[in-house]
Amino acid sequence: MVILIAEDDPMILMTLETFFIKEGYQVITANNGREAIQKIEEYLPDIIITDVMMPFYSGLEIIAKIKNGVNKKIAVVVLSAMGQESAVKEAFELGADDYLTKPFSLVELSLRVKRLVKVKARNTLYQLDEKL
Amino acid sequence: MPSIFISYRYPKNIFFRSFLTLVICLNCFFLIAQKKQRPNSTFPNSHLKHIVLPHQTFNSIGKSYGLTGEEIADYNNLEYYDGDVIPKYLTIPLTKRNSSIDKIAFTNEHLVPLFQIKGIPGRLIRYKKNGNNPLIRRVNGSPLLVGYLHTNEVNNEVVETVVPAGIRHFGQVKQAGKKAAITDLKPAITIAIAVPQKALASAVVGGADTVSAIRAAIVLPKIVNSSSTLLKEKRPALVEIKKPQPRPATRERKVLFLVEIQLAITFFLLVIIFFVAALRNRKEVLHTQLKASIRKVLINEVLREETFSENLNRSLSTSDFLKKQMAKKGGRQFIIDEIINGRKSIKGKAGEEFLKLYVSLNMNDDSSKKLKSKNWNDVVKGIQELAIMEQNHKMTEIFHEINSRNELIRMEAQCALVRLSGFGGLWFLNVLNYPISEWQQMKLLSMLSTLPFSDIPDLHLLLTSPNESSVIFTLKLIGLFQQRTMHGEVIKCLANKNETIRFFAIKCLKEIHNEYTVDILLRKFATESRKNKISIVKVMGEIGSQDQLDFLLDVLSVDDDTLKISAAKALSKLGAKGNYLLEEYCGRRGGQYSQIFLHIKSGV
Amino acid sequence: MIWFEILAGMLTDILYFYCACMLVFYVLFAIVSIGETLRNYKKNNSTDYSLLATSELGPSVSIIAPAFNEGVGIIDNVRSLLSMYYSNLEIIIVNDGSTDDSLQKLISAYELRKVDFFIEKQLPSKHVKGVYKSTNPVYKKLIIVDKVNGGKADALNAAINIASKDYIVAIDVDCILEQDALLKIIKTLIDYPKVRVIASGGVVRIANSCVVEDGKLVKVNLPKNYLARVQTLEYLRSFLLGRMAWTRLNGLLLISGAFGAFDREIVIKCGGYNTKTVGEDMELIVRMRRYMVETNEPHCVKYIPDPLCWTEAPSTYKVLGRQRNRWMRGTIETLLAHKIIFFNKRYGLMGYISYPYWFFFEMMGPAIEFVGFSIFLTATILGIIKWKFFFSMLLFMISFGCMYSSFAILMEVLSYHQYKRRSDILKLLLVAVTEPFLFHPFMVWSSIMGMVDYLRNKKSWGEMTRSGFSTKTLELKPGIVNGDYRKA
Repeated sequence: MVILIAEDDPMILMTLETFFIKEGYQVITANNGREAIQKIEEYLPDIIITDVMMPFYSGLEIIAKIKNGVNKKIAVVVLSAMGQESAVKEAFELGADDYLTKPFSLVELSLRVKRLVKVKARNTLYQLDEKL
Repeated sequence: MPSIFISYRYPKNIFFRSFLTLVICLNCFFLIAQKKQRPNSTFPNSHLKHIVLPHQTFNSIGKSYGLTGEEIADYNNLEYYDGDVIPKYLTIPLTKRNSSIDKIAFTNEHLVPLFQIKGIPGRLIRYKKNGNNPLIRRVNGSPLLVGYLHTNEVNNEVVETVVPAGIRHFGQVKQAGKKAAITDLKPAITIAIAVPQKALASAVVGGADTVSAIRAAIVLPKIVNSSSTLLKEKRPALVEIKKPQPRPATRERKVLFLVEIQLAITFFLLVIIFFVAALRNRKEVLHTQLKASIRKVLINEVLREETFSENLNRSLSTSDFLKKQMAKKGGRQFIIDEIINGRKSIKGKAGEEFLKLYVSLNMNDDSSKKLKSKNWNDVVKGIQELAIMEQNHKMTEIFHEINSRNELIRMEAQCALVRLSGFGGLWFLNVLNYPISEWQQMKLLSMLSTLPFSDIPDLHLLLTSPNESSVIFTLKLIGLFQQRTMHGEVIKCLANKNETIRFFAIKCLKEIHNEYTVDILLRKFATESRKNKISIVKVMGEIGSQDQLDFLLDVLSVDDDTLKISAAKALSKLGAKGNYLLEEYCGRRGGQYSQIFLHIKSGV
Repeated sequence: MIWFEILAGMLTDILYFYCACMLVFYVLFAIVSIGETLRNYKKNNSTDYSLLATSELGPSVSIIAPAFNEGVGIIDNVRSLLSMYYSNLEIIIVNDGSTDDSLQKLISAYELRKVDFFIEKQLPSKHVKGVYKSTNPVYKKLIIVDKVNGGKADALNAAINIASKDYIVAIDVDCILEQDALLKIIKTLIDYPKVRVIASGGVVRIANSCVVEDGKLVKVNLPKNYLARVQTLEYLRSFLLGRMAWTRLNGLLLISGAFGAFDREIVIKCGGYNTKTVGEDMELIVRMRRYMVETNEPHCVKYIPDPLCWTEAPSTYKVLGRQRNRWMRGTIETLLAHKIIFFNKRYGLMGYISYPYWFFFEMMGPAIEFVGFSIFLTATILGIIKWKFFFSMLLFMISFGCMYSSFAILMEVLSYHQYKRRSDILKLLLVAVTEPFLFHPFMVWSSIMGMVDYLRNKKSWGEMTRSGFSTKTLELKPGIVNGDYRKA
């Protein structure tokens, strides 16, 4: 499983990176929106964990780009300091698969990512079934 | 660069031309004025010989001859300077400005100035009133010039006396061949004659002795030189200048001195600049190194699966670099910042680990020390760190700062209080002596909104507080946490004379409205300010019902674009009937109104 | 001919006095700004700005940016604005009748669609042809306004009509903003509980030779071009020393048009931007201050020493000359339109210090300098003043300039430290030494041409109104309390 983490705070980025490597994922990191978009095309990750406020492209733009593009199957978890209803709603409307508010718990994040992995696996199975 | 100068061709337009003309005129004016002042002996070879008295400066000499010090210095080929004049005598140019001798031709002869001796009343010499002849100006105690003795340089004989315009002697000095004769002078006119060789002689002029006395005075140098006793007892003591004169300060030298000072300061600044720059660059390099290593260590610690142990200290001590930095203030501060950063965004078990790290590294001592610092910035930082790291036992120390005179310390202490004790911390509002800034209100509210909800303390008193910002903050608080029990109190705020308070009261009522709210607001509408009217109309859209449709339609017809659009928006929010009425009204009025309707319909 | 001499002497004395006053002002600037700049820098260290970026409790902000033929970089610039850190935000780009393909580019890049929009006519502006919004919900903050060309002030007014938030932030669309520029400038507006902050601004820096990618500043470099480098130093001096000092005294009369935040309510109440002047940024601040004084509300205009906005400086003498020419005209127009402030007790410090400073030193400065220097020079050539004295005075002015410049550099190094290389600092100092010969004379010249152009234009305007071309002229009538200037 390849995870891309886009986050502009290096401390959190590094924490997440170390954490998910320990959890057994393959981790790619991006410091800003532009880097994230480049790396998505390059590595085609399965799951993206993204901050909302980032230089160049915001997390929401990344979601919109993915969900309107060819890679719409990539699951996106939003990690944002904005906790208000409208922000959460906006993210889900754009197609985010999950939303966590900062400060967040690593364990919770990991559980949510695992669930997404499962859903994704199931979906691919269904699709295979259908094709068959 | 020059191209731009050339591109402006010569004065096509009148303004530019007049500007240039003005500049040229001003220039000419100054030049003429300056030229006037240039010393130029009108009569060649005729000048005064002034014997320099002790403590005379160019200026004081100049002033007694109606010239400037600089002119005199120039005429004598000397550099002008402030301070005592060094040469023993100076030649003074005679110009139209300072003498009345235009009709006399001289051939390399001297005029020796006659001064009135100080202390003897000038009754015998009269001045024209208001005469502006510079010669009879008495300046700063310098002796008054009363005339000149025209002497022959060869034998120092008096040829004649020259009297400047504006002075009339009682007696007449007549020319008598080669010798001067002064007749009809009343006795005891005392004049001082400045004579060569630093001597000041006074001659008693009177009667038949006059001529000889004057002659005696004129030839005095010789007498003085040969230590004559003639006037010995009457001659005032001379001040001998013994100490070596410092180099005279010219105008240029003064300016250059200032230049030197400025260059010295510049150099000093440069040294500081490079020092500070080097320091900051070093710090930055250090921080990049620290970032890489410390983050790794911290994160590894935080993410350990087994419980926290002394491993950290071990891993910190494995690296010499980190060990060294741990001992330094800057290094520790950096680590604290990183821990706080982590703590702020990560909660749960990992978040707790950050906290434990902070304590086990004794960082809390660092923070507590900062509270006692004299530097306000450190105190603020200290409070912030302790609050984020939930060091509850430091609460009392933080409380001390709650009414601190420093605004930033005060604000940080308030935040810390609320962070550490939640809604209970709001008691400080009751004892607050200062207004709370909007920024501070926002900080407090957002901190409270993340806290688990508990009972909000009694806010009744606060709403009547004379501190207006406290009232506004309380209204925001009531709105945000929907304290419906406060409805009555908030309504009272609608009568407050402060427009902003009323504005926030209206906003607050939107959140805690009950069946009476709408009517009360409508009653206030007519007397409210424009801003608050708009606000009330907006609130109607949120909490109004079918009963308010007529009111909103009324507002829609008002001649104010913002009110109109707000009313239209409110109508559209009041269900199908509101929408229908809006469409019907706008369709009927057309023009601007159809645009409003389209705007509402498109939902932007 | 005594009067002649006395007059000449007096004029000379006045010139000397003038110089002395100017130097005193500069020294005061330096002293006053130290405390303010460093305090601000320290304050920054313990402030968590991200609160404004994430909380909905903060004030709402409309960014307004007029664009005229900016097709080359507009997509990147808008993108950079969209990624600004701020929560409650809308971005209004006004296409001021561009003749290039800016609008088409925007429409295709941001999936725009024309919407029906009712424009509240709070400020007069030229006809708005259409309002566009994006169909993509990611860009819902974005509003594009297409209007008939009417100049910068007119475009800004149109944008204010459409803006719906508490504060407006006016920017030049080609400016590069720091990621947290909005947070800092807005925080300044809400940080003072006792007075109403009606406007705030931040430091504008020179972006020449800096590395810019996708509308974001990636690396700061000292400009390679000499002119741009001189302006770098000039901006450091004027922003870090001059404006900081004025902020401290609450006498600031100018927020740079490149980046400034305003209280929308006050802007609308006092009539918005004046379309009749080329110095609309300064004119607005002066008018807002006047309005506040006349309504007896305590107010202030704040400036922060943080580098918030980077802009491309003119790098040729021709363009630079035009810019300074315009600045001078703007200054004259503003000051003359509000001459009632001059030594007027009612306006307090603004009337006694700010306005006279601007009048005597910013407006009259170049002309007085030119006249004074020419007299000085001719007098020296003709031998009235010694060359020695002439050169020592010249040296004095240059060394003062160096001292002042190095002080500005010190403030920069102490606070934000953007130019890190030692060679950069040395280069800046070299510029400080050469500037009086290469840059300053040109500056003075351009300003004087500005004055000349002002007088010429005024005349032609006068003719225009007489022959009835212009029917509506914006008159700034003094003494209107409680009301709309424009309606009066």
